[in-house]
Amino acid sequence: MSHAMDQETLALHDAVYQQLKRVIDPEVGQSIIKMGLVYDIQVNGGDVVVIMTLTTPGCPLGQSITRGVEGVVKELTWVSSVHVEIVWDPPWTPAMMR
Amino acid sequence: MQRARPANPHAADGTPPFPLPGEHFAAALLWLALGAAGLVVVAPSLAEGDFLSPRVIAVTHCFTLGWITTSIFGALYQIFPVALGVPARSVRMGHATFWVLQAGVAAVVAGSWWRLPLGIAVGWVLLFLAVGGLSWNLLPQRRRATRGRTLGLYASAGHMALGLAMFVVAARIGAALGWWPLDRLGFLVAHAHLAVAGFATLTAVGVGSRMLPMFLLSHGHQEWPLRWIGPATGAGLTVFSAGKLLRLPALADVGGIILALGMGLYLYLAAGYFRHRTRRPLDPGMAIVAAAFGYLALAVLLGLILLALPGFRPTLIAAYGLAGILGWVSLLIVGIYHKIVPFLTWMHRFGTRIGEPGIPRVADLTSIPAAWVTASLYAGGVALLVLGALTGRTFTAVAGALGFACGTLVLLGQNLYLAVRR
Repeated sequence: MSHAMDQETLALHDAVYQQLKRVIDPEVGQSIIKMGLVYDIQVNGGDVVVIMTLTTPGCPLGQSITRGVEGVVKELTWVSSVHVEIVWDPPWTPAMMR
Repeated sequence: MQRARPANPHAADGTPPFPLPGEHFAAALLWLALGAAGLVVVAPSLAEGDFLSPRVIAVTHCFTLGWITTSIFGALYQIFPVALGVPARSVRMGHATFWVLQAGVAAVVAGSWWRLPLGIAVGWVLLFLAVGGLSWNLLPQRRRATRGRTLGLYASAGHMALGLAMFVVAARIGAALGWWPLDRLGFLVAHAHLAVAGFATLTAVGVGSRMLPMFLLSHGHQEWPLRWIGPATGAGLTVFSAGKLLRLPALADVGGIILALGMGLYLYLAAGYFRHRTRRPLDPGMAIVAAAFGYLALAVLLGLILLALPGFRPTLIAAYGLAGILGWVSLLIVGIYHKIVPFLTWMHRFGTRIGEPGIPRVADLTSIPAAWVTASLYAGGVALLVLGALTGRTFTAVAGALGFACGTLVLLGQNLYLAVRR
């Protein structure tokens, strides 16, 4: 039963991950996944928390990217709420690009 | 992990509505066009070293006040709230200072061109009001800032230098009225350095400390020069200006050397931004910025030569001014326009649509080949202008001015295309 639950959570997690690939940094032209901006995705039933960073504090795209993340994740029918949490530690570096 | 403040920290960024920076950038481009046209007219005077002629002064202020100051005000209204996390006090005041600034610039430029002292006086009064209005609107917000201390400090220092540059103008008006004696050349040199090396460059250092690493995706560069550029430039400018105004050449020389040291530190910092960039091939905008730093280095070199050589050397002074005002500050702003205007346009049109299919990238909004044409015309145009002034060749200077004007035409075309494209 527990194994089945883990598999299901993993699938939901992967669905969110795939959605986030659609969020493109318009300046760099790459997805926030490829840029290594997403640190963690937490799925708890229909509640999704995306823990991510930006290339620099005060990034002018911050609000747009946050909205974009919320928008694409909400497209998943099973999602009831999305919370995007911006963190600065560890700070983003280009080495995080995939 | 160190968590940021609740939810989305950018929700309270307080960036102004697009029309506020937009109107500044549009007006600045028109001043650039007027300045570029005027440059063709005054290029022969510049080749002769006649930089004190009223028309040269009018064209110079088209660039310094119309193009550079309007651009800086627009950029500050956009960047200050984002970088410091505090909004401007009043958007309405921002629009008001914009119109007062435009009226002031028009009066100073027209008054200088047609030799109308009243127009110049009215213009400077309006400019005092505009600068005071922007300072009231933005700079005290620094106390509430949650981040961006360096940018705030440099913007404030830049505006102090601008205030001093304008105070020197007031002293010149007093001298013209016979209230006190003032050496005209000394006044002009002090005024120009406070405005260009003080206001424009110190503001560029602060704004650039956020924007250049962001546009270049530069990481791992040294930050320590930022602690010293401001003090060195400020001290150098103060001592240099005092030496020029009080006719104390030795004092001016010492100030000039300290100022050159400050600029040298900035060049070292900027070289670090470029060396540590992740985005290896330079796009046209950043290539123009790199060219601007090259012209800053040239201006520092010409300035040191002027300090070392005795006597009055008008063509060398003209070349120095061209390298500093057109090569350094103007090209820097042209380069930043290539980045910031498409970006703001993108934010205005698509900022709420990230993640939707078919959304263009910022780079898709502009023509890269046209941007390279602009870069070549500007960099080459300024090179010919400086060469024309150094060698006293009118043809070379006029060719350079024409190149600069053609670059401006292409830049205007690019921005017009950006404005009407859907």
